[in-house]
Amino acid sequence: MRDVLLGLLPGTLLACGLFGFGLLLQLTVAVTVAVVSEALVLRLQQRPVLTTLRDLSAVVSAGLLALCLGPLVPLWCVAVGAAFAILVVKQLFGGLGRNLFNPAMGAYVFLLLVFPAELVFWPTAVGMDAITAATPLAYMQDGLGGMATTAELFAAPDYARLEAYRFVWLSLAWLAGGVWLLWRRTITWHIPLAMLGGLFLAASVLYLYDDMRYPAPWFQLLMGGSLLGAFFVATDPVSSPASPRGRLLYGLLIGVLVCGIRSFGNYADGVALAVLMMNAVVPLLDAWARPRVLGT
Amino acid sequence: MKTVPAGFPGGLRLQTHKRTTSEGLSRLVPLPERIILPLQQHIGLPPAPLVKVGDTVLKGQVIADSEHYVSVPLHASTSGRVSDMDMYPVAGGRTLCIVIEPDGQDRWSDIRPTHDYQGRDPKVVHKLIRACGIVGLGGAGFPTHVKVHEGVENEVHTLIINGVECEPYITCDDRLIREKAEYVVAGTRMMAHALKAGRSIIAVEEDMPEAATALEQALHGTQDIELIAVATCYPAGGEKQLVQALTGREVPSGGLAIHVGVVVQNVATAAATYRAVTRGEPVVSRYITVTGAVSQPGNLQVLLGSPVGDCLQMCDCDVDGRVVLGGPMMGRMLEDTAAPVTKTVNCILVGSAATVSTAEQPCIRCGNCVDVCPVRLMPHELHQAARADDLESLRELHLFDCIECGCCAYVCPSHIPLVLDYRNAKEAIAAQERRRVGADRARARFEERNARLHQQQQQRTPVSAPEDAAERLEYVRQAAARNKS
Repeated sequence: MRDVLLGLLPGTLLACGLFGFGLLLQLTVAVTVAVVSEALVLRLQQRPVLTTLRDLSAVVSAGLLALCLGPLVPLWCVAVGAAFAILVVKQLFGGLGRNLFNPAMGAYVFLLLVFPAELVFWPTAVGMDAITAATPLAYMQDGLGGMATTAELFAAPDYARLEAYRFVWLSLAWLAGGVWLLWRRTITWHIPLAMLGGLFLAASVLYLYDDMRYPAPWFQLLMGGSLLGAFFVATDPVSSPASPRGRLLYGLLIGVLVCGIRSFGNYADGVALAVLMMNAVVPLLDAWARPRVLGT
Repeated sequence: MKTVPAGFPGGLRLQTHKRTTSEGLSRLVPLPERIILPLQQHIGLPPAPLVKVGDTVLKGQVIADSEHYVSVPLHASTSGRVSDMDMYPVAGGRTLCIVIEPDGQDRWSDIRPTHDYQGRDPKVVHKLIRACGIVGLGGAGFPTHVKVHEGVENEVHTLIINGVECEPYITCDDRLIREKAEYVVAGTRMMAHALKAGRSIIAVEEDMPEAATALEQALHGTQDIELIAVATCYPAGGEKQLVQALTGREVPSGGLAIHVGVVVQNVATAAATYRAVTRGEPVVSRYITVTGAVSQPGNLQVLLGSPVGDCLQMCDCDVDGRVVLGGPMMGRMLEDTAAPVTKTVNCILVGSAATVSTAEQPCIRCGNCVDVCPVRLMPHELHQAARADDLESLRELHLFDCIECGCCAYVCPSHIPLVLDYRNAKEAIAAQERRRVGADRARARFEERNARLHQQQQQRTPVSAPEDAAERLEYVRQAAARNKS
């Protein structure tokens, strides 16, 4: 878990630089609330508090939640999300190792459903007079829903104001962290590769079918939470399959679902929903992908 | 010499820690004050004692034997007096042992060589293997004559002599090959003769080049035995893994190597066969490695029944840490160093007192265990089922295909003692099986008894009261007397 936190570091620092240091405040609130929630539950269950907290799993969940939320999300919202992640998604299912769903994503979707208005906007520039705007993915979805073509949307002055390159840089920072995790063997290549591959394939099919209505694969890969999701969220061991074949299928289907949600759904970035959906079928995947025991 | 890849899924590349013990000549352990010989040193039934307390015995004399197929006789490992026969501590509990007080002369009983074995019926060697108490000396302790007999019955084509000593720290086979390569090679030929096997292979690990050279020299360029090195990867020396590496065939689940036409024997077993044929010598000693937190680690030639403590003393070790019989991966903890070295002990590993095991944390399903399992099991699911006492699921998850190599526990980031879970679960299932068999038997007995009673009732002729009054009175008197008493 310490490796995961280290892997998140470059992206976090970059995000602070690009979107403001409010993120640090959000991280602090999220982590504090998560750790206190976890300690509370452990105390109630009469389990060792300090040794269990030292596994850092609550910190990772809280950190991921804060990073997924936009920098303009109010702190009380962050606190509610972090508490929900630990108390409901993780501990109600039995704590570390027994939660069916990814705590950070469960909490994110919870906030998305309960406080949709608070989650939408991202700042366009750093400073006291930040102007709010959507993420490139949300901008694209809105525009395409309003019958504009991708070419028109890219050419529009609103797009330039989004400063979309910042999201590309952020994605590359997550990728760097992911490579570190691979190198440290904290994660295996199966899920990230399969998920990004699935997203790329599905996006390519749509793009080749009609490039006026569907953005290019690179846009899908780099403009949203795809890389953060592929390396840090979908690879959560507890809520993902354990067999290599299961991991491949799991990642692939997440990728395809992400593309599907973005292209045909109401949510701009489908990573959280796709991960949760696939979390639910992990036991099935593990049963299906169980490796053939030698000699059988 | 040919080198082949490990050829099985998973496995680990471990630090071997072998150089500390593999380079020095093996040393002889002096006669101990008493020799403690457990009757059960092999898989199968223990033999029954043939001597009484107070008897004098000679080295190599049969002191226990059995009529049973899966059992071997036990021999005195030195000459002396039988001083006791009782339960003594051994690895994993207490068992019935014959204790011999050595007379210091180490006099052999009348043992005879078998000349010209090649001209004789293979059964001669086969019988000799049983008579000399030879069992799998690699650690499993499966009676060798059973393997040979089943091998002949099932027309095996390949004999593999296993010198792939894959577990870290252990070098007793390496040392044995280097010092007794001639024995190993000749023993291999004898076994091949007994088995009527067409192909013989001696396999060593890639990082045992000296042993390979010694074997090559002992082979003198002859082509009847292939010498193959297997890539260093734990657990390449496992029987099923080795068969897969060398023949490419998977031993069927629940089956034996014999089912794919192969018999696997340890190098020490081959050397023991050589001794049995050329001298008539039974298994009375073996090579063991003593290593870990000891001042003078090395290999020892030790008489069976010598206390583990004596071997440790030889290596200048005051035990303040844990003592493990076997290697770090598959070994078992030993509580009492008075326990004797038996046929299946290949290593005494002393852990330092400072070694602390890290506390267990919950399984996070990371799948590391799945990646390293050489049998392609799902260890974390087995763990879950074992903790839930779900014996049915454990069977379905192929618990009994687990070879207990310990790779899963080694890579577990939560430090879960997985192999311990599996061993306990296997025992629980075995106990359940015994109970079921017992209950079946009891039920059968009960039904039999009911049927018998029923039959008796049917057959019983109705008793009519005697006509004679005096006789009738006598009946009543007798009945009253019965009631009183």
